[in-house]
Amino acid sequence: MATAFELTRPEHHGRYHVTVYVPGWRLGGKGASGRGPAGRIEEHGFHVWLGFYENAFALLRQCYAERNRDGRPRRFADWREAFIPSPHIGLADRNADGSWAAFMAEFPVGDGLPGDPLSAGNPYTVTAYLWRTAALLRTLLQAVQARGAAPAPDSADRPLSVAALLDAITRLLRYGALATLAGMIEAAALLERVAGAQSRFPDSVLLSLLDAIGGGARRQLEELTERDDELRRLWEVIDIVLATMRGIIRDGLASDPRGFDAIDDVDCRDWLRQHGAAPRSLDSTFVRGLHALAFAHIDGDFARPSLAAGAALRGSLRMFFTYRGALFWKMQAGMGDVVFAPFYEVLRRRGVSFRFFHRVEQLRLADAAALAPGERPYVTALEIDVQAEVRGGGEYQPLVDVQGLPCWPSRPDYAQLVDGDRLAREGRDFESFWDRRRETRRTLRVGEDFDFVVLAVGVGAVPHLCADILARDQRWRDMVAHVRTTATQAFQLWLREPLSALGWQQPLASLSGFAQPFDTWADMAHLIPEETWCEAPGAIVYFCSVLPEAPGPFDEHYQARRDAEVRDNAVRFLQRDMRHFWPGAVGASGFRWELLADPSGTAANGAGPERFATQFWKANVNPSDRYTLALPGSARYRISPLDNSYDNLTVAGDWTNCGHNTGCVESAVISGRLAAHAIAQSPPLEDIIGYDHP
Amino acid sequence: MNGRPRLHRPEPERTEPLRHWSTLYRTSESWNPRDTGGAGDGAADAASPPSDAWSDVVADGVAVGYRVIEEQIRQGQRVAEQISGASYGPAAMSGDVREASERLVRFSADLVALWMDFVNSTLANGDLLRGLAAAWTPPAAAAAPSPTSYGAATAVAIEVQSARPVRVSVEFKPGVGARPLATHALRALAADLPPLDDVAFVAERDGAAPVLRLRVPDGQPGGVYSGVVLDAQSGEPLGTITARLSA
Repeated sequence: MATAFELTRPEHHGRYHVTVYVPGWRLGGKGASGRGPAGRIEEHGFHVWLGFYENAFALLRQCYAERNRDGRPRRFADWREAFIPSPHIGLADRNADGSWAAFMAEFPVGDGLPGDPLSAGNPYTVTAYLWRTAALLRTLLQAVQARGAAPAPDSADRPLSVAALLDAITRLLRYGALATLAGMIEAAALLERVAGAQSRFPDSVLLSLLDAIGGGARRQLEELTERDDELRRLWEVIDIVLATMRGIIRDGLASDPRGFDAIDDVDCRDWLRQHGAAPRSLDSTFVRGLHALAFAHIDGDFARPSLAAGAALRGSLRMFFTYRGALFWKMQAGMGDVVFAPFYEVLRRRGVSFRFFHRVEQLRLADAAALAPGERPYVTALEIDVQAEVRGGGEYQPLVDVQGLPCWPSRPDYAQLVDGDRLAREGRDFESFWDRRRETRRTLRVGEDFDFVVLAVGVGAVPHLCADILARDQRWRDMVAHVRTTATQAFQLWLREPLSALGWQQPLASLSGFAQPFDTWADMAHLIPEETWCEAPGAIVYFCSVLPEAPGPFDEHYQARRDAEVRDNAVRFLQRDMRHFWPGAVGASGFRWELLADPSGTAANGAGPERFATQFWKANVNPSDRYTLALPGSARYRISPLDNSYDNLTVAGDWTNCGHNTGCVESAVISGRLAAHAIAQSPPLEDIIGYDHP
Repeated sequence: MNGRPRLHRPEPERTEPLRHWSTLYRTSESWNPRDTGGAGDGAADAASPPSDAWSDVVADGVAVGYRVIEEQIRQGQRVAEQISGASYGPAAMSGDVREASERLVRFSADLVALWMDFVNSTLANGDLLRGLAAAWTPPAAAAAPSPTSYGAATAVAIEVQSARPVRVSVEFKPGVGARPLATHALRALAADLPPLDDVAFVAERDGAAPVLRLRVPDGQPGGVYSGVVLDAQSGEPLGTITARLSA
């Protein structure tokens, strides 16, 4: 969508005619959503937009502005109505007694809004990140101090004498200020002053002070962190922050021409360990939460966390230190409704054609022997399976109206399709990669049907679509071998009672690092008014996580088998784990299944675990729907949308070498803009926000 | 095909993001979309900032960097080395507090390394060298720089012990007279390459030119290594040393 939006900007004066070929009945790929029974929103997973998604927000805001130029009143006319700030972020952590607790933080409002013009200092520098990291450290220490420690005496103006310094340290120890990390840091600051003027002191004084701090503070610190879980968590974050700062400096990342890519071959936990992070911190909920956010588990195996240090550092620094407005932004409706429907409407208005139910099967290259000297290889044909044809030969109309908002339905509109009744009876799954049924096949030819190709599928689909390229090109073989993906799983609950009645008091929070197999969940109660229930639910909650790989057979039933697996996981998870946060959802015999709201409004679905059938769940196992991992050493195998090895082909997606090489909306949009640049030399690379980044 | 000539993609100006620290001085406004009259107009206009402004920024940055080095070299690094040395055993403390204390105290040493890297990067870049020269040149002279501004002002003998060819040059900033000289390790731009740390200025006898002695270990990777010439008494930076080692 980003590429189409860029190529059809009015500035191009209609130079580029874009046709989008997409399987099934809706746009969005991994970000697609649909409206199901009771107008409920059904997503591929839990999507949030992070406050640093500058390119994504900028394009969306431009899209909304252009859509509004027709002057028609509409819901969500302003993009700010379509997104709500979500500053409440939490991490789940096990307490010493084995129970789970939520470690919540409310992130302060960031200056400006994502997509606003940047106005104050280039935020994308290592130096800026270092300063902001130091500020975070101070904030964390203040948080520790706020837990009741006596304020440490001000030492800044104390005269540098042996007696005064020994007195200061002794006083700190006596009054227990060293029982806090802030006190320890203050003592260390004193120590630095001694060290800075050490020529005036015998070495024995310096060593005595070090011994005093090391011996006294550590004992008290350990006692405190062992009996205070929150303090322990803060300490773990401080430890990670310190290791990060030290690593940035010691590895010379501020001046390395590779930027953070210089450490991309190393796993982020190993990198933090190299720079002094304690083992306990590496296993902390903070680090687990970062892995959960990036689905960073090889083959969906929770025992195999893996995340490239460079990508992790770049992503974390941008997430925490360059967000605007809010750290997270939740959508006020489905991602399809808020993002892809407006883009669809604007692009249609610009003349873009959409070919739904068109599944690209193969990209065919021109015969190598037929290339002229110096001529680069190029795509000569696209083989496409047509899954369904539209009655009357027109264009499929994909949107439905839900309370005045154009939305994508969860099922296709068979009435628009030739032999729609038959297709419905046959239970065709147009979005399943393993349902290979088709009505006909088309072959598009270069020079007749297209000039340029933008391959904007997920990387998991590339091996299935690009046989010619893979047969000839080692770089592409390396790319598909090393840029790996993971399947994900998600489910959504509509509860008849609000979460506050079940014992959860945090406002619209998102929580990560929780029990497997669903380590992330989010309160989505703000969506209740957007759905059309006869009896509105009291809560909506989304869950997601990685999904471990499973053996075949990879037949037409594969999707259904994996969906059933997700359903079983969800039932087990609700029965076993949610009591920690929702004690009111658990009765004598386990989870209170009667809490689940049934869109049919009947009691036909029972009151036991079978009632879960009224909810929504999904296994994201389609090759194109799988989440792109940022594994150590994999970034160098990514191929840039700017690469012109193939004369009329470029790639787009969060799996490409787009500068921000992690799986997220922002990466996909950056990549899409790069793909447009590859064809039209516009937008200028310098305008792609954050592409040039350490 | 229908006989219509096949269209080609334009040659890319580049295929990788610029991750070098030179983006440090990019203004935030430069990220903002420009009004382009039409497709492709913007690319040619998206050049670097005006060279004067660029030089000023670099000059300021380098000057600040050297001031940091002066201070840190005198205090931070020396103390940090003592703390981590044999006279004080880190094993005497263990666990989180020891680690945190060490990290905090050694921070100054790290900052030195950071600024050394910064300077090394500067010296490896011709544009930035001009900014560096501006930082050292009085404003009046900067407007009309003398052709000899970059010339050596102090004689130095060089002794190199190396199994492979290495070209060593020492350059002084203008106006440097005879002073006692010192230097630290020479570092490569790539952070993973080990520094050349067996390097020192030696005074052979009174009145004679100082000798820069450099020993290159046999396993040292090839590349360009550079460092700073310092006044051994004041710590003031006086010039640069560059060693180009064959692979």
